[in-house]
Amino acid sequence: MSIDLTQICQNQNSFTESIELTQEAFKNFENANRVGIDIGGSLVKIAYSSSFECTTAFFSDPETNSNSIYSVNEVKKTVPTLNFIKFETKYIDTAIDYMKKNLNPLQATEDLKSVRATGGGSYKYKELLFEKLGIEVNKEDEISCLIIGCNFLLRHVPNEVFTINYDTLEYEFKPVQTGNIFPYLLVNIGSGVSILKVESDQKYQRIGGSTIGGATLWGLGSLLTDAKNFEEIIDLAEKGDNRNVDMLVRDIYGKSYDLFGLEEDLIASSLGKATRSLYDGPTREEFAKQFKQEDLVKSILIMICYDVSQIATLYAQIHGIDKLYFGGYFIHNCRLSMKFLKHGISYWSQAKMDCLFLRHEGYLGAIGAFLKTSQDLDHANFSWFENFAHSSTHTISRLKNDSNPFDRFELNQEEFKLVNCPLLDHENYVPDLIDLTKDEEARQYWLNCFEKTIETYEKQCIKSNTDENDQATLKRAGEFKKSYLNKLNELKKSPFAFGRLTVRSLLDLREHCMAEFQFFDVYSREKREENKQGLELLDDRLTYLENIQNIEQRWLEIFRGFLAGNVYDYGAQSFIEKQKKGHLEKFTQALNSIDESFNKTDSYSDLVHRIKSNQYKCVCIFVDNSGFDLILGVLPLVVELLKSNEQKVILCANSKAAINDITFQELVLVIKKACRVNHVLNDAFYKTENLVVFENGSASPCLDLSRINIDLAKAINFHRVDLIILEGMGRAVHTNFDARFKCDSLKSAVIKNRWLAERFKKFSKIENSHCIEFLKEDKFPVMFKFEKFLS
Amino acid sequence: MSISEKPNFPWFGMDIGGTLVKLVYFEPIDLTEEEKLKQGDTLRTIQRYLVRNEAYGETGVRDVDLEIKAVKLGDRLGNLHFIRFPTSSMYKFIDLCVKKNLHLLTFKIYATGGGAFKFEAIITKSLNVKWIKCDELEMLVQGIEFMASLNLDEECFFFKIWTTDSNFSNPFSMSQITNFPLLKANFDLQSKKFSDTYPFILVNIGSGVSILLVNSEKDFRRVSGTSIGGGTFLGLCCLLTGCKTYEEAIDLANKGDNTKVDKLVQDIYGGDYPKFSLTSDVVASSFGLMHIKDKREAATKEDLAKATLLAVLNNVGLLAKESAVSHNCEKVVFVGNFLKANTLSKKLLSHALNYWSNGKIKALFLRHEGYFGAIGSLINFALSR
Repeated sequence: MSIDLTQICQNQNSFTESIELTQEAFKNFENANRVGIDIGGSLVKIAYSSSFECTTAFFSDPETNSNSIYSVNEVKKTVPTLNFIKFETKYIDTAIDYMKKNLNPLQATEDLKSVRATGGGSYKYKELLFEKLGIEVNKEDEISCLIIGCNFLLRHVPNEVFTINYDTLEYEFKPVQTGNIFPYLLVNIGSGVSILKVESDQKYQRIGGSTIGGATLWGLGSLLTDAKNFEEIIDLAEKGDNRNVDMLVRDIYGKSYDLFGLEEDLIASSLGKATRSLYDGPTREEFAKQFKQEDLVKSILIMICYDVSQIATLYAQIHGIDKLYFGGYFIHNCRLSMKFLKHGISYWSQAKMDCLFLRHEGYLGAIGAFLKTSQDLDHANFSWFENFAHSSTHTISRLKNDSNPFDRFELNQEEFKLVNCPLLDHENYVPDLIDLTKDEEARQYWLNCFEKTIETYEKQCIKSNTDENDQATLKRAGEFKKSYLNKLNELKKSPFAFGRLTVRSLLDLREHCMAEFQFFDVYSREKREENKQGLELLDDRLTYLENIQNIEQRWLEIFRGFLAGNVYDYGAQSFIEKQKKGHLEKFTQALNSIDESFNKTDSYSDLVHRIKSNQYKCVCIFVDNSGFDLILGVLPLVVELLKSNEQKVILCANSKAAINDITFQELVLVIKKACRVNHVLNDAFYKTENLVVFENGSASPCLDLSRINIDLAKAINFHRVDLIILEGMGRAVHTNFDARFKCDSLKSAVIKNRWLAERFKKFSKIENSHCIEFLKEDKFPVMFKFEKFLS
Repeated sequence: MSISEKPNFPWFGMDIGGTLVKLVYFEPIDLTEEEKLKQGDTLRTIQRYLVRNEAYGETGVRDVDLEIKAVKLGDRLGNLHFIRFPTSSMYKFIDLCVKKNLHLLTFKIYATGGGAFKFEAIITKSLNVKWIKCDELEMLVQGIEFMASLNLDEECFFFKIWTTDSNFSNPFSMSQITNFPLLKANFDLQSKKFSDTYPFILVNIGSGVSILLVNSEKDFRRVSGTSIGGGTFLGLCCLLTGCKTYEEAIDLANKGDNTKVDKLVQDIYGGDYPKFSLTSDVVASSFGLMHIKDKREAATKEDLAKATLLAVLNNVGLLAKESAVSHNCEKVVFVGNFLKANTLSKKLLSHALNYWSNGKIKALFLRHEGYFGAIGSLINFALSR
């Protein structure tokens, strides 16, 4: 794409006003160590790697004389990041000025001195970049950059791929087999069209293309309408009706003619009605005025979409490929183009192929150019998550709102390489129960719910600080609240702003916003207190269970306890209310607060039967809350499993804090204490290693089993896990409710949310859901779902 | 078979497309005196009107050069006349028929094309005819088969492309084609007997484009098609240049330089893109320079018409070639009125197919390019009982 330099110079003034926004966009640029640039005709994309320092909790054995069971300290941690920003070409000079000012010479490695650039515009800016930044621009091959970028997004960014619903125009996100992304076709609709066949990281080729692409629309639109730029052309097209200028099958046949399955609205000849006869007015202008500009550009847009989709389908068929990803500025956020491409692919392939789009397709070239400088940074060894707090929302309109000309997207490095849980049936695995992008009723409920509870978290943020009256803390907490509410508002407008909207993504967003304002593990003190209380009660609880002679009775009591523990969930409002009233101070109160009818289900009897008959060699438990949940609920089950036979147990906890979920560090400290109370635990943990603990790699109350810590995945294989237990609403209801495993599994949770309980009842989602009655006789309903693996 | 069993004269075959009506008229030359007497005045008037004129009204044209003398159709001998007029003049045509007293005769017309459906009601109301609608693709293929059976010299032809320049390569390479007389490739028009041709890909470029796989006269199907066809070319040319007719548009295109309008690989990359074998003068984007004000102001009508033609042809060529590849055909036969008096397009299509397929796929053309549907209808009429 070519660059209109005059256009750029005219717009420089507007930039000074947005210096703060620039700062925001170039977040942590002072720590940048590598840069990649993609300069197109209308947009510039910059990618850089950087890092930021965050505070996190560090747990250790208590100091002497301390009343606490362990001490919590702050440590600084460096989080590596990948940053991607996108803005209109007119801001390029000022962007370069900003980069010049903020580039840290100490950070600037040799790599930074030579920047990789791609895109048609990059060679035109070579001198400018050298002059201002002193960096040498190495022109990178555009197509390979696109492909490297695409591979990276497919492998590393969850919820990246979507298709569009032709009727409702809603996005439908599609799961990606991250380990198996090839082969695919990448159809890049830039100025022209390139169709790329990608078979592996190294093997790809341009198998075809077309000259009728984005710049054809832009060029013809400029010739035939008053639109001043591409966006205005798209806006016109949105309002047009192509049937006024296209010759339809109906126009030729007079009525529906179904010999070849042609529909009457089918276009026989694009712009075919715009022909002039000898009798028409004298000038071209007079003739052209007979047609609405909107109708003309709509016709051209549809023509391009159908043509590209036809050619793409043809190549896909010839090469036997069924995954087609579309990218390029022609598509960028334009639902109209996506709609007709989708229709085209479905028409030409007789609905056999799907038309897939990427949420971050605008960044493909920049990501590719950047990764070319970073071969030492072996990206296959790392996993990344999208920092929602630092990323712009993916908006439905093509134009960024005027208030912020920058679009940004940030990935933070996970501490672990994250992989599929080996026992997960990962084909078509979608972690989340409800897709809030599709389910409007659920979306409204949950958005509202998260909005209402924001005060609770604001208060907790303040409370978590040592000095609760510290003005700076109050301000930060206020900022966190504001930031989160802003994002919630954006999500109300465009629900797919961060990909598939789910309870999980809303929880993650909240955690990211808290972290953005340096709040971390805000429940650590409450957790510690409850852990302490729990440990004090553990011995009694274990003794009580030990003394139940009737085996059936004992297992029932163990599972009652297992469920009762799960009542202690700080993320649940109904729990908070009960706790405030003092209704859950004692564990027995919790035991009495759950609906016991779960033991009448086949699920329960089947599971207990299998456990009693020693069918399992290794049980892997994904635990939920700290305190009573873990200590009085889970540990007695663990003890019973360990002692009844030679079974092994793997306990998995979150790597990072989320609400009052127990973290791995806390789990280890608690287990060590518990070992002093119980010899079965002690032997298993220290001697036989029949009890092992792992961090799951997650930082969420929910669990994406396609992204678990690789070490845990290895352990699951090594120890031959044959029963997986998922505990709690986050891990077993909001996510993984429909997950299927290649072994037996138990999904259990106390339903602490009325709306969800009513939904379960309404849709008969679970066994005996007819008796799910929220807080009937003050009892929480229970989900106890045991699923046998049918090999 | 006695003469009385044969359909009455006049004998017509019609193909009513989105833009043009194609009419084939069979002028019997073996009429007996008795028949001549029986024929009556009306028929004689019509025959004289059709056969003695080369233009009808403001828009009707008889393609005199296509006329075929002394053709045997059924057991009659006659001349075939080829007439076309815009579909928009269809109502005028019906009026004319009434004026010439055609409505007083009882006869049958076999018609194909979308208009066979669209105009059925008005025609059967205005004229005393039996209107028989025929399948468009069937007529097309039968028309071609009939012409092949006549075994005329020069009906089928192709361009033998040869070059002495080893660098000469790319069909997208529009700077070469712009300077058409100096084109490094040479095109020799060669005639060919249209036989042993099955299977072939048949590309009918009318207002839109239909692509058929033809295995035999009876075995064919539509395998592809596109809405980017002659109608798109003419529509865009009318909008962009103000031209009024197809001939005018082609004339403009012949004189234009598309590199003033299209974005070439060198406009994007500053040179070749060797990794993907794209040379600098390859068109990357049709109309790709036209969003730039200066370029827009500098582009002439001729340049715009040329760019439009190339956009349409590149696309048709690509679809034709891929259809040929996926159905293992070595021959692509281009027909349709878009190719009428349009040697530039024929050369471009030949060149494109030749290059893209490394000489494996050959583009063939037929002189009666736009009339096969109408011919097919006429044959079905003549052989009907």
